[in-house]
This record gives sequence, structure tokens and C-alpha cells, in this order.
Amino acid sequence: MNQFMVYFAWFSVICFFVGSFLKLLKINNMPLHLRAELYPVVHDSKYSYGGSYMEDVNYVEEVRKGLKNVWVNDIIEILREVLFLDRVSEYNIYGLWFPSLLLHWGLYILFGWIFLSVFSVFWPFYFLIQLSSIFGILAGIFGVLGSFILILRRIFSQELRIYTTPLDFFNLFLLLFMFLATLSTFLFDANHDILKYLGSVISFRSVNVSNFVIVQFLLFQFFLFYFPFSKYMHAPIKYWTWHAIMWDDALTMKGNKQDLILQEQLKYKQYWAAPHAIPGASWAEVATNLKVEERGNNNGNKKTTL
Amino acid sequence: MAIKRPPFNDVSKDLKEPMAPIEMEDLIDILGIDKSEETPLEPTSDSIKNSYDWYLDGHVALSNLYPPKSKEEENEIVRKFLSGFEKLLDPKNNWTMLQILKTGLDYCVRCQTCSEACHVFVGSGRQEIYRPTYRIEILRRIYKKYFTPEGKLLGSFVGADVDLNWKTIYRLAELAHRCNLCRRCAQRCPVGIDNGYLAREIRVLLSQELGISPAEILEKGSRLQLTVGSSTGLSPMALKDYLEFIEEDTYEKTGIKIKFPINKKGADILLIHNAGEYVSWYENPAAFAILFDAAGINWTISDEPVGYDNINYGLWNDDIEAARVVLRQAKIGKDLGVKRIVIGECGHSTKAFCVIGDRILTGDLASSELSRESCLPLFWEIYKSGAIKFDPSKNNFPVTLHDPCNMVRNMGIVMPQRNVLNAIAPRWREMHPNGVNNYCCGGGSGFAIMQGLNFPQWRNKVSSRVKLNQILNAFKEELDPGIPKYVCAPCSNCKGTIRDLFEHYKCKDKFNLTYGGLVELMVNSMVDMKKPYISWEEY
Repeated sequence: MNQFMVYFAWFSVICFFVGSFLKLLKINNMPLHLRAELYPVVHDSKYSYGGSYMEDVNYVEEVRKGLKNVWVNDIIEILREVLFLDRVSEYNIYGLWFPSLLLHWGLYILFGWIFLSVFSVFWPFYFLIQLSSIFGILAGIFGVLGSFILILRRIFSQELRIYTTPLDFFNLFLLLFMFLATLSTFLFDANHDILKYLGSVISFRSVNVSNFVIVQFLLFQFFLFYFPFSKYMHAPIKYWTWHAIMWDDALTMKGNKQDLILQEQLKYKQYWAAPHAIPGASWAEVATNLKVEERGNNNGNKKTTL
Repeated sequence: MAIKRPPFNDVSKDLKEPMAPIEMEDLIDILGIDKSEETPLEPTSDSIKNSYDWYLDGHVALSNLYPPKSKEEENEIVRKFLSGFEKLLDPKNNWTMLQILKTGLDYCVRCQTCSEACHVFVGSGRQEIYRPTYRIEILRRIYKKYFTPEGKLLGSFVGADVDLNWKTIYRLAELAHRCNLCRRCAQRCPVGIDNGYLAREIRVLLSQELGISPAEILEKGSRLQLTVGSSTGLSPMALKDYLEFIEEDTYEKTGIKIKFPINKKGADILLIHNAGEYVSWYENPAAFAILFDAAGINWTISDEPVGYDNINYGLWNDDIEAARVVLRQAKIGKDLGVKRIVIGECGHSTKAFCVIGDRILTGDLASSELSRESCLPLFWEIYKSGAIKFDPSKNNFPVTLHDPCNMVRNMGIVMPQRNVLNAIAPRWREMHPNGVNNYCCGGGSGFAIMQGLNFPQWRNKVSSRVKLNQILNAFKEELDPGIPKYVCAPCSNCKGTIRDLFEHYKCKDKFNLTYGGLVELMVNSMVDMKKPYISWEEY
């Protein structure tokens, strides 16, 4: 078991990073979509009231000269949501903000605790060890409260219950048990084994540690392993859904990179099969042509090219 | 008030009654209109009951969608739906929206933070079937069941539990047409999921693979536009007759001679109107002509098919049709050698041409080579230029502004129309919320033109309800019918919706409410106009 715990620790960390990276890479490498920006776009200089460069006559010239976008706003806005769940706080009427905030902070602090504990293995200063213990206890309290209240809310709120699948409950219970286990290591005075265990993982040497610590890290490592394949990934996804979709207002200029990408994508063959579609034609061809039988009475079908 | 919460799997079941019928007591109150005085809710007619699957809410948006007649037909519908869904998830068949679709299907945390943003959900008294996430959850459960390993392996544990049959598809189609695609919900999502665009993806699947779409949008919309020239059926010859009539009528009414310049090569601006303006609100294109001529703008219109009708209904349901229309329109502008193309007061077409078109038109047709713009910034530019003298006192009546979602929330064009109103309409006031947080008129995404069966009743009673309440609240101190009031809606589809809404609720008689565009207000306040341009009796 102890040897397994050493290898599973490394396996879960690798899965967490490689799995998440590959998942995000897959999303990142999807084709360039049609513009789908939604205002207010945070990097726009007219963000305060939701304005855009399209408010200007002949805006293409303004874009050509260079817009005064404030790109750091993209990061700040995402961070505001990640750290404070602003939108949930402002708009959610089902009482999810406070428990969600507790749960999210529980997770952030939990990662902080793990990092501090790893540092403590290398530099076992009293202050560092004490600080990491505080982090661990706080993470446990926040996480247990947050996940427990969220479970209750999802059970007792009719509006939430019908949308919540058994898998969603599994995800919440996994977090609840993980945080309970974290808290237990402190409640049952097993926390002194944490550094011992982490040291064994780093040195690849198995050691005997308390069962509380084994359970705690088993659950944490399962969480890491499971993360890329789960809805927990909604956290990093925000960068794409917001920055790369909802705030993507980049204009196509002839010959720029975007223009060239789009020209390639228009060469993709499509196989839509409705009566007005032309299966097997490229997007450029299908946009340029109507079906042969529709051309008789068709003034609008003068040959054009993309 | 009863909130109906039909389980997701009801969409696939044989039902005797609708999943969530509309009932008057469920709907929200409207300021100044007692529910008992409202036009009563017509029950679903026997002819609808006998001919359609009416089991969603007793209303039918797809008047051309008849139940299959045989088991083979039923199976074929399901087969095509799954084939279309597979294409929706394919990077080449759906490069246009794949990233939005996939992130939406996989990462919604079902927190329902978006729900209260939806005017349909709120207006209906929070009926579950109108919640922005309801239709998408059904789509997601089908996706899980047929297209994910975990769904195939774990079934209902991961929510892969909606049965798929023709009824599921038909009701999902109806559900996709209970969303205005205004995207207000997406603004509020803490994860950035866009339930508006996901609803559109359902429509795309149905239209591009099965040819299922409301007749007014595809068959009598995009198809007619691309084959005849305009969704109104207006041919180039008929257009000329209309233009001549408008020129004569404008002269009679205003004493101003206008002449629509047609196919003028090398003009600065190609102006493309929604052809519905020529047919239903010709004072709008006439006002553009008066304003542009007075400002000394070198402009033209086109009589080329598709070039005189800016509509692009593909924006709501079909990327193929959207691409065809923007390409044709851009080519017409290029051939005329104009410096830029300006879209008249029409929200969806402005977005389709300027924003969606920006990633369809490349190379010589890219935005950098042929600018495509909304008319609203140009109005403000004309005012600022000082070329025309305006007298705001001519607009001395209460005015409120409706923000068309496509131009405001979807394009960020917020201030030009407000700047103009500040300058020419002394008694204008905002409705609340406004700007990028506005509510849709209830006619967005094609609802304005969908007049089949009993769908207009649903639109007037449910999807436009919040908007009417907003309008009346904007005038709450002046509801007295002795005071004429003007709702400025610079968008054809919004105007169409508001026209029907005012008629349904008898707003002219009760409140002396009328509606129109921004350009009419500008012309009305021109010093050179001898007579008022806005004629209250006509509305």
C-alpha cells in the first residue's frame, strides 16, 4: 500500500498536468470560430459602458491604426470570477454563491497547503510547518462547509435538483470526503505524518504513515487524476470561453494571420445534407453556389468567389 | 401561479396534454394593463391539435413540421438527427461554432445563474421549459448518451438519460424556437457558457441536416432571398416601382424631392435596407434619402438581387445560408466600387454582415478591403458635421429608446444613438435596463416574422411581455393617452414585434404609444422640414 501511495502520487500529478494540458490543447486547437463577442468586452477602451470600436464611422481605419485595448483587463476579469465568483454573487438566486466561494477557496488553500508542505519537506522551518498546518485546517473547514451546503442545496432546491446528475453529486461528495479527510488528519493528530509521507513521495521511499494521511492523500490524488476528465475543468476553461470566444473581437484584415486561417478553413469539405446544402462541397464552394436546380430563377447566383 | 417542471424525458413521451401550457395567471403583470382586460388566451385549436405535435406548451412555431406518417419516417428523422449531431461535433462541418458548442456541452456547472437574465423565463412566470438551460440540458443528455464514452458506459449516472425519438426532436425544435438568441444569459454565466448560441446550434443541426426550420426563416426567408432577391418576394422590377412610389409620396407629404440613386458606381456608401422597410415602413428609407441628401453624402442603393435586402436569416439557424448572403452582398458592394457598405436600421443583418461576415469574407472581401458598418454611428457623424440644422423642439414629445440586441449587446454600438437622441429629442428617457443589458423585444431570432398558427399569441403573451412592461414603465408618469409617445426602435424586426405588440395590447388607444426608427426622428427635427415628418395617425 505504501509503495502504491508513492507511485500513485506521481501518477496523479502527471495525469493532472498532462491530462489538463492535452484537454486544453484540444480546445485551443479547435478551428477559429465565427466572431461571437458579447459586450461589454473587457479589453475594449469603451468597456465602462459596453461600447466597441464599431461605434466609430469607418472603424476599419481605426483598427488599422491600432486599438487601445487594455489586455490586462481580460486577466483581471477572469481572476475576479475565479477568486470572488462575481457573477454568481450578483445574479444567482439559488443561494449558491457563499457555499461555492467556500468550496473554491477551500480548493485554492488546499493547493497552497500542499505546496507549503512540500517546501517544508526541504526546509523544515517551524514557521513554514505551522503556516502549512493553518492552511490545511482552513482548507478542510472551507471545503467541508462549501461542499456540504452545495450538496444540501442541490438536494432540496427543486430548481437545481432536476439538473443535477448522479455524477454531479459524486463530484461534490468526492470533494466533501477529500476535505473531511484533510480535516481529520488534523483533528486526529495525524498531521505530523504528512511531511513524512510527502518526503517519501519525493524520495521514492515508502514509509509507514497514519491511515488518516493515507485516506487523505488517496482522495486528493484521485481528485488530481480525475480532474482533467471531469467538470472540475470548468475553472481553466474560462480563459477560452471568455478571452477566446466572448471577448474575441479581432477584425479580419486582408493578409493577416486570421485571414489566412479563415481561407484554409473555408476549404474544409462539409457534408451537411439538407435540401439546400451541397454535401461534399467545401465551405467556399457552398457559399458561392446554390444547388443546380435552384439556379433557373436565380438572379442572386452570379458567380462569386470567396 | 403554478410553475410547471416537466422532467426532461417528457420530451420523448406520448402525452395527452402539453408539458407546460401557458396560463394567464402564470404570466407577469404589465404596468397599466389589467390581466382581465387583456386579449384572452386562445386555446390550442383542434386543427393544430390534429396536425402538429403541440405538446410543448400548446403553441407551434414550426408550422411546416408535421408528424411522421410511418415507422420508417420516424426512424429516418432520428437517423438524420444523429448524423447531424455528429457533424455538429466535427471540426470541418462545424468549424464556425465548434469551440462554443463543445465548451458549452462539457463544462456547464448547472448553477442556473443565467436564468434570471432571460425575459422569456421571467415573463412566463419562471416556467421551467423556458429556462435558458432546459433545452440545452436535453441536448446535452442526448450528446452524453450517443457521443461520449462515459455516457455509453455509465448511462443515467452521467445524465445520459433522455430517450431519443421523433417527438424528442420535434419538441427540441420547438424549444429551440422559444429562445430569442439575445444572449443576455451568456453575459451572466460564471463559466462563459453561451446558452443562446447553443440554442442556435440546435437550429443549425435541424436546418442544415434535416431542412427543418420555420417556413418564414428558411423556405420563405433565406431561400426566397437567394433565389428571387428578397425574402419579401420583392423582385428588382417591383423594387423600382416601390422606389418610385416612395419618391412621389414623400414629395406629396413633405414637398421634398428625393431620388434613390441606384447602382451608382464609385459612391462612398452603398446603403442596404431591410426590404421589409420598403414594404411596411417606407417612411424609413425615405427618411434616409432625405437625411443623406441633406448631408451631401455620395450614396447609392443596389437593385441587384440580395443587394437591396440586407436580411440574413442564416444568422438564426444556418451557417450555409448566412455565408451565401454575406458573400453576395459584399460582392455587390465590391462591384460597385463603393468605399463602404452601410446597413440600414436592422439589427440582425448589421450583425450578420459586420460581425459574422467578418470571418466568412476573406482576402479582397475582408473587412479591411470593404468596410461594413451600422447606420447609427453615421447618424451621429452627420449630426456632428453640422451639415444639417436640427430643431429639437420639433421632437417635443416623450421618447424612449429600445436597444436592438444584435447591434448593442452583440456589437457594442451603444452611444451613437444616445448621442443623437440627446441632441434632437429633449424628452427622451432610457428604459431600464438598457444598453448592453437591455431586454430583447421578444421578436429576436426570427420570432418577429413568424406569423404561422398560434405562435404570434405566444410571442405577444410571453416573449414580448417583459419588453412591453419596460416600455410602459419608461413612460409611467405620462401614460395618459392625451400625450403622444414614441418608442424609438432602430431595427426592422424590433419594429415588427412592437407593432404587433401594440396592436395586441391596444397600446395606441390606451396609451397613445407609437413606434418608429431613429432616422425618422432626425428628419422630423430638421429645420428645413416644413411639416412634421412623423405622422401620428399613420401608426
